[in-house]
Amino acid sequence: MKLLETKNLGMSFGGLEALCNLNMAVEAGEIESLIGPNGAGKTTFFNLLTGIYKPSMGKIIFSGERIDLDTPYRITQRGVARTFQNIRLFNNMTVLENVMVGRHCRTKSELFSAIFRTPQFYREESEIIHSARERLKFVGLLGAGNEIAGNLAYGDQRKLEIARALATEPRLLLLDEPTAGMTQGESLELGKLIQRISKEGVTILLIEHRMSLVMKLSQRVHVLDHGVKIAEGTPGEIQSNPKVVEAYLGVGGETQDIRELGHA
Amino acid sequence: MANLIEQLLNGLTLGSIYALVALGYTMVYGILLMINFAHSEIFMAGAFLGWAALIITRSLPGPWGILIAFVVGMLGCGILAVGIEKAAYAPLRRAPRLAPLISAIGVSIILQNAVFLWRNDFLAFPLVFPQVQIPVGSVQLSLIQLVILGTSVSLMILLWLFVNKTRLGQAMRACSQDREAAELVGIPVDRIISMTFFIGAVLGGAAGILFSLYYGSIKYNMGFVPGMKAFTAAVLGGIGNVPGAMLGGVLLGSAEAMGTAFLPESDWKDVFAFGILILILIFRPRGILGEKTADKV
Amino acid sequence: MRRSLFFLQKQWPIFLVILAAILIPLFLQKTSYSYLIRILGLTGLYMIMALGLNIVVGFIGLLDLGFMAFYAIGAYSMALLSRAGVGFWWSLPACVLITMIFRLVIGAPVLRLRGDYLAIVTLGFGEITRIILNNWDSLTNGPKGLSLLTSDAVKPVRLAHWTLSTNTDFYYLILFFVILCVLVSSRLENSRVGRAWVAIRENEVAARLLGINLTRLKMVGFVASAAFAGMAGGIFARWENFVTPESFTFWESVMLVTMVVIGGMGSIPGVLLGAAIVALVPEALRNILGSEFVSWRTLIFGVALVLVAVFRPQGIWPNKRLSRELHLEEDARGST
Repeated sequence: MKLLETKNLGMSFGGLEALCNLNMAVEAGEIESLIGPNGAGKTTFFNLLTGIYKPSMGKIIFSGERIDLDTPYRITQRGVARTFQNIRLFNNMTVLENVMVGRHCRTKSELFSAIFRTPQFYREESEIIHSARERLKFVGLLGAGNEIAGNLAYGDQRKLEIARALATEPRLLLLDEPTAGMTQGESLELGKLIQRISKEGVTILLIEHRMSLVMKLSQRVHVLDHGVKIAEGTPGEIQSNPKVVEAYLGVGGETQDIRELGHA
Repeated sequence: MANLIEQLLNGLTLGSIYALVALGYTMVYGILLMINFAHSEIFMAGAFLGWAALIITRSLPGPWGILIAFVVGMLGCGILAVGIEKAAYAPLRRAPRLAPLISAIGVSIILQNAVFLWRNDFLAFPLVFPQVQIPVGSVQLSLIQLVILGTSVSLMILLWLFVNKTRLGQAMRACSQDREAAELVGIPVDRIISMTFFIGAVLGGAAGILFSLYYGSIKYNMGFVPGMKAFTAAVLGGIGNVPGAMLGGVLLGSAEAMGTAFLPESDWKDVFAFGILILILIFRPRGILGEKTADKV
Repeated sequence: MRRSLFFLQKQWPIFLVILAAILIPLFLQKTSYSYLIRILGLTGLYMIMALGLNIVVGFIGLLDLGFMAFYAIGAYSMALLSRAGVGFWWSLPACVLITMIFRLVIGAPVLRLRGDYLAIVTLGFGEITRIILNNWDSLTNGPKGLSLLTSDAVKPVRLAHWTLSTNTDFYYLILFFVILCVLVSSRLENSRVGRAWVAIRENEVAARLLGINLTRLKMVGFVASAAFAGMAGGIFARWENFVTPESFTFWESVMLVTMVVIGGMGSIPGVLLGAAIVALVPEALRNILGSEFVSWRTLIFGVALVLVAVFRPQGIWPNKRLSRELHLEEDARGST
């Protein structure tokens, strides 16, 4: 079943056309990747998916419903969560608090129950703390619960961002270059985490430059260049697709296999 | 009909003063993305410095008194603004956005109250110009109005030439567009920022003196309402946009003059200006000539 | 039960402070300093307002420069209701409600604005409110103000068999409400709503994408803060028995912001301290330097604002979270 679909999606900023006529789909339950040279429009695409931008044309359909006109918080409530290229943690809250904020859209206590400390309030707080700890355990950060988020090591910060996104109970998780700046070892660890997330039933769409990871994890790869989809297929098909190699290296490059690109 | 034109000219006169002050707000906002709350007090400082200069040069013949007053007022304000920038805003350039706002409010309080403690009531401003009317076409303009219009237009032309035809002006525009890039190409951003404050204050100080010549008296809190109106003008024209500030000033002044013709209560006039400000910020925050900026995610 | 005992153990200094607050007037009454009771009462009102403003400025991180307007609306509502014969204990919740409704209506179009613009717009609304109160003579009696002593319909403030009329009576009433407001603020801070507010302050984009409805949460914060102001205004009106627009100027709004900033944005003990400082410094000036120096207080607060903003932006008694936020910036500054 197609969990996410775009039809003729286009985005222009003034005179600049960042995305043009994008038609693509993500199957439920899969790990799919979105690759392409810098400036291809990948983050713009994520911004469109999460409602930060409104498309200049076209539609985005999530689980059968149109979401391109929704506000970001509505989209998250529907079940789309994301992480950011430049990490956006709540740096001065603790690790646990960051994940607790992730539970916001799945809980209900308002002013009244907060002020009067109703049983519903205590029940929910307890649930929030419990599930936040579960998520931290899942990504391997349980011991760091009381640390200040801004003080974590870089790799841990990325894991925290993922834990926080998972707290929103997404059906689709958008990861924007999660291994940027990581060592090879750290990125392999993250790859395993991504696989574990997938086993939990979450569909994942990944923007990545580390080809080894992309090829290992993905069931399907979509390639963007200059705002246009130039290829789509299994990792094997994409690896040897000349258009893709050309996009990354330009015409006349010696490599015929983009695995040789290593990580960007 | 003649009355309407007269009102319009009144509006233009006032509007040109607003425009001069608005330029200070808009230039600082363009470079630092900060609302300089204390700018309305620079306007007031110009008036008081001008007053002091006029008192001292009372015995001088001809236009010398008023000319010296302008120079003293404008230069004094310029220096004051640069001092404020260095002491209260520069340390906060990388702080969260509330900090410079709070600092600016503090500076505003300091300036107003320093004057308040010296003189807490109205002070008469010397009548430098004879109260003559000069016929222009079918209407009568007072000499003061001509002086105001002439001075502000000249200053605005000078500013326009500076910003668009000189290298320093070009550097200012570069810093406005992208401070980091400007730094990378070797522009001394700190000095350009100081210069921006200086120029804005020079114009604001001149505006203060012109305003005082028009109304005949000054007071420690005279900057508050004109400052708000000038800021409204800057936002109306497009904050950060220099011709926008001039346009906004003129429009607001005219609208206000038209409004006074129908709404006699002077307090409601201020509500009118505030109302315009709020409406613009809600419905078209980029103003008339401003550009849309997208948030970077 | 275990939770409450643990609370008592950890927080005993608070009980000490409350005890002192209860006992002080009893001592003061016997001395020639009994006029201080009134000042302490006013301090309490400032504290209530500072706690309210703290929600918007401290928790959410938005600068509100027109907060005094809601104090004014609360006060005028109380004055008008009392003159219409409504008893105090009915009018007070009504004042709170009326103020909250005004904030809802005024706040709705304004919430999407960026920080600096929001500051100016709140300033504008504050001024508009004052100008309307000053000019709508038929309702508010304009600059002459409304007196509660000239209308026979006004009922005295009664609690059980006591009539509250002296400064000491109102002091204890205000003390009660201060404690209540501290409790409410603290509960808000440690709740889903409070965390969401801080998340908005820390990183608005991330908060949005975690399913937080920014507009709604900001509105909730705005309205909640107005409730504090409305309540304080209502109490003030009955205490003074007189309201006039001159008590509610832009400078008063700035004083409130000063309290929150100097004391510590987002920090409950901080803003209480800030309120106390701003309210009591004029007294200190009067007694130490002489009464002609009282008018220096505003100047001193201006200087304090700049000094705090530049050197200690987290305030005197910081909220531990904000302290970290502002120190990180300092470190960044120091390293260049």
